Amino acid sequence: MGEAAAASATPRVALRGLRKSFGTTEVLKGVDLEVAAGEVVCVIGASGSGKSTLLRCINLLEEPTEGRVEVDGVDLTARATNIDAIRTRVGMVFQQFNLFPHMSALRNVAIGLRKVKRMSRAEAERVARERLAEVGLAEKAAHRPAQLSGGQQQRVAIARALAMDPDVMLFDEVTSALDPELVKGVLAVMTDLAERGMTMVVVTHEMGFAREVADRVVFVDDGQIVEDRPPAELFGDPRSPRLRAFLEQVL
Amino acid sequence: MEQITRLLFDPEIILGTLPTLLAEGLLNTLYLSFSGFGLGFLVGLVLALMGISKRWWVRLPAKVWIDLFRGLPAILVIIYVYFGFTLSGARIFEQRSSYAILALTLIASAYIAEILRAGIQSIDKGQMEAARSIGMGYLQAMWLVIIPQGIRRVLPPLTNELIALIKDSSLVFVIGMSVGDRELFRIGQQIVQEQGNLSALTAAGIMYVAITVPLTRVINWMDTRLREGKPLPDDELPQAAQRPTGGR
Ligand SMILES: Nc1ncnc2c1ncn2[C@@H]1O[C@H](COP(=O)(O)OP(=O)(O)OP(=O)(O)O)[C@@H](O)[C@H]1O
Ligand SMILES: [Mg+2]
Repeated sequence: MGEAAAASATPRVALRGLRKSFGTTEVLKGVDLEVAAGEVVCVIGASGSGKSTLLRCINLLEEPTEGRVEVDGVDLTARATNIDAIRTRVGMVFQQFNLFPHMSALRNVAIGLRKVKRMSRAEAERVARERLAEVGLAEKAAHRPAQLSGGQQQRVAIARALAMDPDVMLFDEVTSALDPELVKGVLAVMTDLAERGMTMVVVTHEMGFAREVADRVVFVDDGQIVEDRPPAELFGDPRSPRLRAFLEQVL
Repeated sequence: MEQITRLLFDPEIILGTLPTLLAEGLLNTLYLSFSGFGLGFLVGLVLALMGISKRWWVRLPAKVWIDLFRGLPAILVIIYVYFGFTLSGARIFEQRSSYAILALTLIASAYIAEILRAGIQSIDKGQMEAARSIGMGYLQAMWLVIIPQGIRRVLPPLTNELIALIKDSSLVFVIGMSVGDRELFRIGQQIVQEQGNLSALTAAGIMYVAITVPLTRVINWMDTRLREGKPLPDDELPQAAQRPTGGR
């Protein structure tokens, strides 16, 4: 479905000439990327290459030094844009889960609905329970994050982001902090999400996931996109020496 | 030796003073210090938020306020507030106790601001990012996510500050509260002046200890609980800004 959608309307997410510096070090050196509605794009690359920074620019957790970030054609870097409103449409899941430790799983998922979307408590909790059920955690609603395994916490975090009914989901190495046996459950939730047509940008070290689920894989090196191709091509026939070297290391 | 004992620990005087201390002094001491603490908490919270602003002109007034009221001796603040307002004719309050509470609020706010700032800053920045990424505004995320966690981490130093303020409330004797409004120390002090014997102050001292020791126990209990109760990866109690329980 990737190509068909990409050819048509406004891209769901577009990065145009994106640059980002921290102090004097330039971390993103001109990134252009379009993600169509329903597309799954995996971002791979060595540690420190700028993958997280790229992802965090998409919901403006990092403010770009130069260039534009567009979500459904709306320029997020424009002064007039209400960034809080846009962020409800761009869900984000973090490596360290970042669940709110003082709230139950249910409240973690419901709080955005109540306080941002202004739903009634009952309505918010109904939706939250649905989302928790979707990630297989209906029974854990009353648990605090500390009482859940890493994999369960991450699934709650995914449910929390999904509860806002976003148009795009961003994932930043969401399985990297997990014990190996817990990775599968989280990847299953993400695969399911992709199959239901969610637009996703996924920074990952899980090459298997990239190969099977992604419509496109983007290789980032030293703050630039070096290759941007369907997974079969990119993994089967890496063009740049940097990508070849990288794949040799991780595969 | 016996004279000293009589001077400090005359049981008759101590027992004779206790009813007044309990009925009048204790209530007023608690009223002054808890009011000062509660209001100081609200002001301190605002100051703490100002103190972590990115804008220097928001940080600056908070910093000056905190430096000022932490730097001045409490008794000076009390004198300035009471005599400053009343002698200059700006009688903003009817009651003397209101001036006392204002002074205690100013003092408490400065210490509490620093405690809360440390608590807020000890929270992992991923919490703010997660809150913002579901669409919360900055202050909303602060209020719902950061501050509740931050306060929990600094409950021990906050209780410490309450203890310090209870003891500082004794300094409002300089305002000269009249009968009915006197707190523990002033009652003791007046009886001492009448009788030329210090035992009444000993009685007042017993009352202070009776209030503060349980609070100290509460701190220790919270301390162990916070340490033992499933700590977060970076759950360290910030040590900033608190005063030793022993006083100033
Ligand atoms: N807030 C920051 N301040 C200063 N430098 C930063 C900041 N965030 C990231 N960097 C630097 O930017 C570079 C890219 O970081 P980034 O986190 O985007 O890399 P990454 O590709 O996600 O790496 P990893 O695979 O290790 O997560 C790194 O050199 C990092 O040190
Ligand atoms: Mg990263």
